Amino acid sequence: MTATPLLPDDLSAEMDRLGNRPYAEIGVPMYLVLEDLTGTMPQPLRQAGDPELAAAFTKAAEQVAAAKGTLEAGDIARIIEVLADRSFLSRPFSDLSDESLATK
Amino acid sequence: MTLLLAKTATETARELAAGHAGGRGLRLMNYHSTPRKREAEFARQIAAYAPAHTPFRKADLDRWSAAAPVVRPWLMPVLFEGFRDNVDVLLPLLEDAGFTAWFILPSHFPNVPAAEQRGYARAHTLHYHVDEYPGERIVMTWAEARAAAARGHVFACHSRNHAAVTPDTPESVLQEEIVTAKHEMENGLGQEVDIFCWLHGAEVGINPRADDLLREAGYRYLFSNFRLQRLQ
Repeated sequence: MTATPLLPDDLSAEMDRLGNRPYAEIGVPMYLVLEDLTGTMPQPLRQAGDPELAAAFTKAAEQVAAAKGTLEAGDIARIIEVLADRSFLSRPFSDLSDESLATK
Repeated sequence: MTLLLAKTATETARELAAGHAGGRGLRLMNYHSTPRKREAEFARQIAAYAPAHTPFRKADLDRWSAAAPVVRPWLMPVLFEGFRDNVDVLLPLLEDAGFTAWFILPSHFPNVPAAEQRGYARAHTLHYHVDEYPGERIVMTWAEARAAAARGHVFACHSRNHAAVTPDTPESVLQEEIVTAKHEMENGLGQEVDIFCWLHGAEVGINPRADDLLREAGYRYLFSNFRLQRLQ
């Protein structure tokens, strides 16, 4: 499904670009992780895992931590935005946005 | 905006990566206000992502680890705040594509008189920048919410007044934002509400008293920035 490399050449620039979108009025692809804190749900998991996404996530977190000297919660959100933008469709999801409509 | 984590960011990143590797990842489309001026854009985007995804429904929450394998990844469209344009613009597009909408709204917002809704939004971090209803209400009505719920769409409580939680949030605030909110939302919606979400998406572990109160109040899931956690 993914024809776009999950990680861009300039991760920091892409995190900044996506982070400057008008969130209040657009659709934003994101990921979250399901967690069962009760320990009562049956195993094993049945949705296919995504090791490629997991590896890209880990690599991106390491890159950001190395560049900044630390990793913060906001960085995780931005990394997820980049990965989601580049994995939901065969081209970046943000290509389907009309930036000329952004409310100033 | 301050995003609070229960663990270090490095530990959180490690856990999230493990979740994706283990098949517990869930794709979302996050929306807030959905103005008519962007209707064609929303339609274009939904037409692009619909064929590649499986709609994530409420029933899937309770059986995601035992459900039949999904060939196409699950996708959950999440509509935050309860703005009127969600019902007027986005919901019909999502329904045409077969998706379940997941509304996350502050329980008090629909009860605010129309003339006061813009001021309430400004005072409670409810960002509403494109006003396509001058002089009219900007929030969905409970009747609209009940109708959407009757068609299978999901409603989660976004606290009472779009509140965030910190380790120091006092008991009185927790009671209002968790317990009063649940009653208020269930009165408006006419059905049980068992999913909760804080402003800024705090997860389990930020405030243990809040976690306990969520369970005592009867919430079964906490929707946070990076996780959807089953509480009980």
